[in-house]
Amino acid sequence: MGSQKIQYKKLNIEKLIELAQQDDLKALEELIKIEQKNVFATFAYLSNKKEDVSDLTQEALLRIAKNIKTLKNPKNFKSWANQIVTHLYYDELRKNLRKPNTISIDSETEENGDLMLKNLLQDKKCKPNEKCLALEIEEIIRAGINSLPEPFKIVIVLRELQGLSYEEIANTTKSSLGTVKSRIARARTKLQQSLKNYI
Amino acid sequence: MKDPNCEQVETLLQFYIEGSLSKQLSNAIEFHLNICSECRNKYRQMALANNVNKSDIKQYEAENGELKNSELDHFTKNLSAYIDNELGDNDNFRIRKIAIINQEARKELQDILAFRQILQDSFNKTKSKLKKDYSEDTINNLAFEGKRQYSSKIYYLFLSALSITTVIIITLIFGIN
Ligand SMILES: [Zn+2]
Repeated sequence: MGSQKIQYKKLNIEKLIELAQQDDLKALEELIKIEQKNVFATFAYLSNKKEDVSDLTQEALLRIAKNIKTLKNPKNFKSWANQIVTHLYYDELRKNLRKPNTISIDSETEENGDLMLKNLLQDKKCKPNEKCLALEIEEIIRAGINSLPEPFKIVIVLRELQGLSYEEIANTTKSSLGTVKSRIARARTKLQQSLKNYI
Repeated sequence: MKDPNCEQVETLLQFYIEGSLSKQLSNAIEFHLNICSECRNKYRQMALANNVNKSDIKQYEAENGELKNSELDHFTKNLSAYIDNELGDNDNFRIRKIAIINQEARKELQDILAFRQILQDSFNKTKSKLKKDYSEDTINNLAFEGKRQYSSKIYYLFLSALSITTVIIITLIFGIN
């Protein structure tokens, strides 16, 4: 029994997927164990509310587990899993849009995002041109990414955190290669500008 | 040589790019780069920065061409795709050229690479901070949903059996009449 457990840990991701698709729950569990860090980090940077991150992570992982048989080529796992994550994120945006008393994406303009970032930095008494010691670098980056308008946020996370190619991002976000290219460029410039004085 | 680990590969990357390693060592690194995406990313970034500073500098100096605004425009528009390795050979060439002859452009390139490093460090840190293990819950939830689907299947099977029986009984009754 013990030796079997170790064997699963030794398998590469493609082999795990193959087994999981043949109803091997141990392999599926191991696959989730590997993928959960990615999914968690993605939502940690995408989600406007920190308290939603855990639920979103669990739901995305469940969707991945449930649909693993629909993945045709195990080599495409990364891009396939990110499609699930992105769809869930879009679902969530739509849900929040319908809820009253929450800020809609439409009103979340660039200035609004910038203001949120400035408030956070001010709250922690961070001064420009000084390293902000009260905040961890991750929190600053997170606030910076959060301050980006929606379409820019998702592309920078898919590119830098998940390492997807432009083509994969275009498929995932249902946009053209040219759009992806210019959005990533703009997201980088904007982030660099808004954070350069603090990191 | 034993297969080098990531740390060893990282310290040797610069020499690997310069081509100053023994054939054996350089083969070992090449092998590692083929199997390790993390080191491969580091290698790509380093290779990009190196290309800019070294390759073909003499040729450009010989050309000594004046910088056209359109070339600077092209640089600004494509720099981001350049560091993502998403440009064709011709565009790559144009970007490198500007970065070599224009100091500001070179600084822009270094800044964007440094910024990417900060982002990736931050992402990696977040990943490593995950304490909760979702895998067991996921499998349990999956089994639960499976059971629910299974029992609802049985329920529908029962309902359809019931209705078929009703139809048969009714036809029998009216059939006799
Ligand atoms: Zn490595």
